[in-house]
Amino acid sequence: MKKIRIVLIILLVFGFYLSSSIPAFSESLGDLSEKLIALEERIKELEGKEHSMPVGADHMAELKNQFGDNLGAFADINFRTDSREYGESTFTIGAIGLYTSGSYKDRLNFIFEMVIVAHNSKTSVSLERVWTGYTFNDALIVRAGRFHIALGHWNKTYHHGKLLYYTIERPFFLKFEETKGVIPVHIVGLELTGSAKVGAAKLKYWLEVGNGPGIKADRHSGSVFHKLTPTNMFDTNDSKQVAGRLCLDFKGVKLGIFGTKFYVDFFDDTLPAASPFSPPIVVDHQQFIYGADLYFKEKKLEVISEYFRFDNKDEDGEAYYTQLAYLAGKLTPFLRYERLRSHTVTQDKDMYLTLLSGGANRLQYIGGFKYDLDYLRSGLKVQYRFDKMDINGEPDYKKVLELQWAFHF
Amino acid sequence: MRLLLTFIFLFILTFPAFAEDFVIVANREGPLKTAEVGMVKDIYLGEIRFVNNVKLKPINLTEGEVKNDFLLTVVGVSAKEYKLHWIKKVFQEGLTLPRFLRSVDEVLAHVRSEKGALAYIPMSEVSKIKKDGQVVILQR
Repeated sequence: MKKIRIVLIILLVFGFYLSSSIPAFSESLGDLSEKLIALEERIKELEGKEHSMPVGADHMAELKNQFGDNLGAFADINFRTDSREYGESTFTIGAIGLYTSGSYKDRLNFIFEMVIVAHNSKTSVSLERVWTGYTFNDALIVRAGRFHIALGHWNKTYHHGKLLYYTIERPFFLKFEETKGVIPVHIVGLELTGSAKVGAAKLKYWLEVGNGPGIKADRHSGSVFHKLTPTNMFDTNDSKQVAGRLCLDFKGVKLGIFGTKFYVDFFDDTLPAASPFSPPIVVDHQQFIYGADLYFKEKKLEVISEYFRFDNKDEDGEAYYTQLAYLAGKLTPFLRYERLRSHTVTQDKDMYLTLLSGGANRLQYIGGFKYDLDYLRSGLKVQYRFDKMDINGEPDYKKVLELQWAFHF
Repeated sequence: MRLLLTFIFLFILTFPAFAEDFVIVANREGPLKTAEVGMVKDIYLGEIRFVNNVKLKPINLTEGEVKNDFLLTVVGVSAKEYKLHWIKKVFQEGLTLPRFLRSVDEVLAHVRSEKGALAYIPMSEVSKIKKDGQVVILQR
């Protein structure tokens, strides 16, 4: 009984204490929750202020240059057995492509791409692309500078980024001018481009006007090679090169048609120049190149095919390739068939395909795979290339095993 | 009772495992009034960049189920394919990469402040925009 009394007294005292302290406790809780709400509102207000600052409102930010904001490099290291291009089996440093691009406000942008090419005893630097553009709307973008010409799918898609494609090299007839390509890959001038919806499909166009290429004689070890050369600084004739491409994209199937017309001048370095800025021109020669391209991807199968037709008053010819790739995760096996045929009528008069050292009849079968170490940064490629080329009317064969480590950082 | 429990168990087993759902949102004063799938796809791929003279600014959430679900069902590509597409796009056309933001609050703050902004947020976070007159849900 005594114990019960003691417990009752304790409960009474505790109850009295609680009754006096709870209002103070609840008051302090109320203060805290009000402070919390106020703090939350303040945070939201500050976050809103930070994000509501429109682009360009910070006037100092406008002064910051965009060059180098998005700076990247594509490069590759190769090994190949005895080949037409490099002779004995050898390691080769591929072209190192450095690029940067930038946008200013909503409509202005630019791109700059240069390539460093290693030779045995020297290193050369070449300007590949530099242009600035203004976007009026999706249907009209105007650019000025040096572009990769809008002839086909490949030339407007991959540029100098070997990691972006599966094979080790571009199709041989689409190689860059310096490496014996037979299609003028670059143009210096103006480009209009844009896209518009046409029913369920989308139509894209490119229209370019600029300096036409020349053909330059190059001498190595007593032999003379001819190659195309873009005219960056001045055109040697009044007639400008025009090029265009239309591409219809219907549910991922892209079908394009394209063409170009230009006058090509043949520069002969062995003749005395009239002035430092006007190398001697042997002949000017009107050339047409036109064709069609197809691209589609169905589940894991990717198909690219392009056809080019060469026409001038003396000669016609054709070049084409078809490439299949099976995109199976990190591993992408591929096959490509590529061919250049020249139907010479009057070979001694021709100033284009038969003059260009890469313009002989040639075909290649290529098979191999690309393995992505990291799909954004690094890939290994292995391919076997069967190369048949007519030299002085006789077929010459090369069977080449090639390996490449391509990367992009 | 046992029969009822069995029924409930079987019902749960047959229920499809939906990925987290999302809604597409835009700035109220922006040019987009509906989220037609083909158009949203083209905007996120950088194929449509202007509507009614307003520059469109697609916003992505960083890695996660909602982003993957959106890219697969609306844009029709995996997250890997999306990154590859944009690496090529920047290299080819000098475009600016779409914005990637970490939280729904950040996404909504951007949509609120930029006229051409377009984004997707998880269905579970829709309550965050109800009081906000500047952000609207676009009907698909």
